[in-house]
Amino acid sequence: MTVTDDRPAALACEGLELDYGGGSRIGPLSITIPAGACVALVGENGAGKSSFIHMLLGLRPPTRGKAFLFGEAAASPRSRRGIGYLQESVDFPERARARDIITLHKRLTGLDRDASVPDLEAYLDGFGLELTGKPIRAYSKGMKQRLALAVAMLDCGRLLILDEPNSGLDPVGIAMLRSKLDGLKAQGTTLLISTHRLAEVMQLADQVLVLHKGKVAGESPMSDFQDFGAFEKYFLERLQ
Amino acid sequence: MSAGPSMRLRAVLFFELAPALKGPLPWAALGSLALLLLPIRYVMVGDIHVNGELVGQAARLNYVLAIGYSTIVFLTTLFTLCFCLDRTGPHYLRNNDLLVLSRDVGRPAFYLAKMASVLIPSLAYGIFAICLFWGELYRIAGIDLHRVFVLILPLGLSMFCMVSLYFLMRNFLGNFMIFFLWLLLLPMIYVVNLWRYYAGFMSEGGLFPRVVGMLPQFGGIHAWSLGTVSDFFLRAESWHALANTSLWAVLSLGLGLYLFTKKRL
Repeated sequence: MTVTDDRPAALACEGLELDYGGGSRIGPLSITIPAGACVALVGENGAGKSSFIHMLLGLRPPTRGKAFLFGEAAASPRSRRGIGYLQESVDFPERARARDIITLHKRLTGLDRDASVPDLEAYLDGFGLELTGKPIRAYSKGMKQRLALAVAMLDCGRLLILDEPNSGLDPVGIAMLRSKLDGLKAQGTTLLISTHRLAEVMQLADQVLVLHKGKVAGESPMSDFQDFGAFEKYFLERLQ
Repeated sequence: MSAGPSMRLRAVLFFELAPALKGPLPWAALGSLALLLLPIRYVMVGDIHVNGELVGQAARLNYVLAIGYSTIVFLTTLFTLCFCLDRTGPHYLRNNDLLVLSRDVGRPAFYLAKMASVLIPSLAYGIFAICLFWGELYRIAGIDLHRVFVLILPLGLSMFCMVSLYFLMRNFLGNFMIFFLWLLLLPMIYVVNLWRYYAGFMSEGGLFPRVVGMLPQFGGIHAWSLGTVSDFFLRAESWHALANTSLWAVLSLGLGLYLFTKKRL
């Protein structure tokens, strides 16, 4: 995928590879995503979507190649300012409370000193969560997912990376998420969403990137597909 | 807007410390200190005769010191391992930790904050136990054994070494395997090592004693510590254990940090 307009690159990687050993590898991937785009990352289980995201965030050093976020090397912590991330499987410390988690991330991002940031109760209310003293072990899966989304969106002015954001959410939660993502898109935040739900991609994304066995198997603007059937057919063809 | 490095380190540290101070573990740790009081109450009070002869207070104090300090070390080690397990449980390097690392937080700062969140409550517990031991000895037997406070230093070094080793091993092993190895090695690094000094055990040399001598000498530190409080326990070469454990602590911290910064998460 390459920059198709004059917008600066939010995310760029060149020859990015991750070698698992035993002949299993991801890449080489050379991808550029312009700032403000909403890109869906789709592919089979084990296609390398989560590993690709981890390399972008500097969580997994690539074997070869380089990744850049807003022009800075992804390995540098500075590059990750204003970037939110939702991991595929949500697993918080069980005895912590929502308040503890949000407070930690507010402190890490310096938002606790920003008067324009809404208070904790109002912020959590926006995600359908109440500010109670309940520990996270008392939360349902959907509530944990809502909390993880709240944490990811706390400071995501530049880029938001979501790995299976709908997982465990009820219809109300899905509508809430879509509304939040529409708001972020309107503000110009770059969105990279990894998901298996093609209908969701159809509704949200501007562009789609298909990964298959660690390589880019297809890339296309969503406007190329007239209906869901055409998109599904395109996706399945890329995996053959 | 971004927080400064020290503020980020403090934020992670406070967050990691909070669960260690909540839940049943601190209460269990405090409750188990009752074990510490038993030898003082039963050995230092009243007259004790052995083979019809009265045992003097100095001999009884040595016994209480050995049992008491061993209890402190045992309990502190146990709770330090529990804190390690708690802080590196199923959530370790999962959602929240990855999110913390995906923010502007360097890996060394995160690793050190995790370690400190184990060390701080462990040391606080050890210091409290030593204070309690001194206080009870003074209250019950009227003995002001203020030299026991020197034990804070070797106890701190032992805990630092153990936590460094634990986090080093956690880079490539699961908690279950670390506990298994720890239990397997504990008799070597503690009991056998301690007996080298007090029972002359394995002092004749050979491959096995040399290998045991190269392992972290927690038992040797114990011997050195007791020697600082009472001449009865003093052993000339026990200071070697201090050097050995300091070296292990520094090496495991350095190697652990290096591996963690290179680790695939």
